[in-house]
Amino acid sequence: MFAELYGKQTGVCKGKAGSMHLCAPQVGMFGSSAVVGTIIPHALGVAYASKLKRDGSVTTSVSGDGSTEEGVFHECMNLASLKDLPVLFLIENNGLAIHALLKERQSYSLKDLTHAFRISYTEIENGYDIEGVLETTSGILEKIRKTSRPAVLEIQTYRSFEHVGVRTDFHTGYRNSDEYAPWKERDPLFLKEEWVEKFKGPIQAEIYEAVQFAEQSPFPTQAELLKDVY
Amino acid sequence: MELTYREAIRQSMKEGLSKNPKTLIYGLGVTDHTGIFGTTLELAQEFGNERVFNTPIAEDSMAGFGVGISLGGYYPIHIHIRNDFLLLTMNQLINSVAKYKSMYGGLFEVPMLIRAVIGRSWGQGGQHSQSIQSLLAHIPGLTVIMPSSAGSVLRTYDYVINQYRAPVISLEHRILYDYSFKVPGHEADVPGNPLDSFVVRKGKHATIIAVSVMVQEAQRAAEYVKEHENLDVEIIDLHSMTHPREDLILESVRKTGKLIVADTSWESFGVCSEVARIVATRDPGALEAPITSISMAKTTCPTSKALEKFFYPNTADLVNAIYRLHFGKENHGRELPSESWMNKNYKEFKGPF
Repeated sequence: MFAELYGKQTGVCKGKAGSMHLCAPQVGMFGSSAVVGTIIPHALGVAYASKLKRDGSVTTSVSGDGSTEEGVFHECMNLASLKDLPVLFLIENNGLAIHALLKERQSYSLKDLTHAFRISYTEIENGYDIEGVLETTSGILEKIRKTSRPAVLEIQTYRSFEHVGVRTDFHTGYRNSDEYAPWKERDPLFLKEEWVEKFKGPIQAEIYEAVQFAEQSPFPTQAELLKDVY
Repeated sequence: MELTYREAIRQSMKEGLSKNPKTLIYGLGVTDHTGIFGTTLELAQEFGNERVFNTPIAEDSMAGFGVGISLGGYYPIHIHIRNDFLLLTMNQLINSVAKYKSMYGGLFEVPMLIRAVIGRSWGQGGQHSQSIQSLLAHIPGLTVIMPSSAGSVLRTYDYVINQYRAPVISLEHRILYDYSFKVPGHEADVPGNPLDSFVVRKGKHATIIAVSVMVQEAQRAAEYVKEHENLDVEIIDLHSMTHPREDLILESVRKTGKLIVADTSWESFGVCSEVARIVATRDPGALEAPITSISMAKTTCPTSKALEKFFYPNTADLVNAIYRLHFGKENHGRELPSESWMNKNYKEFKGPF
């Protein structure tokens, strides 16, 4: 993953994908898209295929609150409901689309919209509660598996940094730093001291190793440029 | 054997389903009683509605659905009754389908076939008559074909569905549907890659590079000038917009020195532009005269029949182009095919659907 971010030949996509198009086929994660909402219908196709194969799998589409504004999202809710597709529409709601607030963008409630398509809706208000998220999501996945009905899971969360980059942007004025405080209080990295103590070392070691691998890896050569094109 | 273009497509669809249990066919109207102008009739009944099905009017998501189907190990054939509707799928086609293999470093492939019809005549109007091959062919990662005969359909669709691992868009001309062809045809004369361009008629006085229904027009024009002026025109079916045989094109232009490009769409940034680019960048000296472009008038297709006849090029335009090149002047004084001659040979679409 780090080698991919570094644009190295040894990256998961030989450096051709970068941060915006990460994928991990070994764990069943297909290609991600920078164009918001583009992957949502992909999940429906994979789900349809898994239905034909009768393999009992559930396909999850992960996208943000802004993606629910795209026409394709509405088309996908319609199709998933119409065809009884085992899809979980997982919506991470951080209230922002780059620098645009939710109230500037949406006239609807996602819950009402979901119900319009006769799809079940669940909301997790504290997306920082790792154990709660795991429990709720597992339950929904199991229900999808059993019923082959799609579901929407909206997880409220927070974006403490800027849209792209390593800094915060509260000083720019489009949002208030006060709203971060309650989220910071719930952040498991601060709350769960015993987990941090137990896992910090091995995680840091894993990251260090991945970064070393990335830094020592070669860049792709020019010969790589025209590969994988028909 | 004689087969209509429509029959060849239907046969290819049926074989696509029977030879490969992973093939799916879907689109607006695929399962209704008209069956995409007869090309998907009865297939849902025979192969089941899990594999052959109708869709909501939601081209964008259905195009993305195709990506997922392909990723899931199935082979989607998505049919649009007009290629104008592909415009609603452009985000998926260009930002996803075209790039899925290369952007992810070769980890995935998304083989699929998208069939879309080019409408013409009986008042199709601006949004049911376009021919968007150049918009799609411009994008690396897409394969665009325009089969011009029943034999071409059979050979190319079989290859694309069963062997070729890339996403393919095939534009089928509505006018060709009722034409009867001898099968196999010229496409079988040249062995090798079924995507390749091929020679339809050998000649020496001029070269016509044509696509789709214009291959028929070119043949009519060639027969006319042979009969009237004993001229032998060479015709090449470009066949694949994205993977043409450049060497074949250049060989012909070197031989005749005179080039006409007959396209089903507009002239700017189109097939003519692309063929001209190939010749100009590789061997401009092969030309003895400027290239002639035969294309739609540079405007939106009008619905009125009175205007429509000025919108599309006809056999007379092609014959005129051949005479102007051969005799070296605009006023060549030779007789062009008459309206009645052209109407006799031109199987017009009786409409409305």
